[in-house]
Amino acid sequence: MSREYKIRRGSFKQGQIQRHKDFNRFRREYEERRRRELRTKVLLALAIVTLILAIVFGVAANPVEQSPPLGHPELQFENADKNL
Amino acid sequence: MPKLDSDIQLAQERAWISRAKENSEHFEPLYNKYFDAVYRYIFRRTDDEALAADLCSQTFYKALKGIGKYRWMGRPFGAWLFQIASNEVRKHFRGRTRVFVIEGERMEMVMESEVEDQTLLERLPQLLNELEEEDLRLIELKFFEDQTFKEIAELLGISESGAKMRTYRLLTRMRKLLLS
Repeated sequence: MSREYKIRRGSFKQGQIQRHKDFNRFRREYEERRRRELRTKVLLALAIVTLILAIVFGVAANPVEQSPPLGHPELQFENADKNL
Repeated sequence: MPKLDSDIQLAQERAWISRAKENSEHFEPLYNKYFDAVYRYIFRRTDDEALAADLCSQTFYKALKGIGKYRWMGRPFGAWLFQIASNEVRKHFRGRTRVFVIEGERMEMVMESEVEDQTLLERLPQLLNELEEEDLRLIELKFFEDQTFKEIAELLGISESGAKMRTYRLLTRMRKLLLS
């Protein structure tokens, strides 16, 4: 990776650093961000559980393999031979 | 035998870390101790005040978030912070040209003597460009951050004599390149 060097005359101004150095503000932002992250995690976990429940119960309610109901065209066709 | 100053500082940091693990409020002494150095480290690699502030905040956020899993290895907490800061800068500049800001008045110190020839000074950025990131960090700590060899050794996880040796080798290499 290439680097581009810039030469600055003079040194860092302490005021520049002090403008951004504020532990109380940092901690407030930290706690808020942690809360947001936790909320997102909980919502994600809930969504996953809901999805799993939907898959499990959805499959149970509508099983893929099921016999055709009486009077279904397939059954009528099978019984057609017997009527001959 | 009295304890060395750095040993006392390390013991104090260890106590601060233990307390910060219990409550984020107790992270303050670590934040106050390292903020300036971490900010300068990032600013030198971004040359942008707002971006440096953002990445610095992100560095301390990650440190505080991960402090519960932090294992004491007898090294300054700063070593871990600089590692996080370095990753944040790398992530930001992924695939792009990186920046390194050199303070003009410090340039001469790198060459250990007054360099009168301005063209030699102008070649210094080119010399630094040829250094590996780790070597650049060594030069930065010694000449831009005024750290002692003992502090450098602790931050980089190497021995004090190793830090000295590497610095002198680097300077010799750079001097040869500069004068060639």
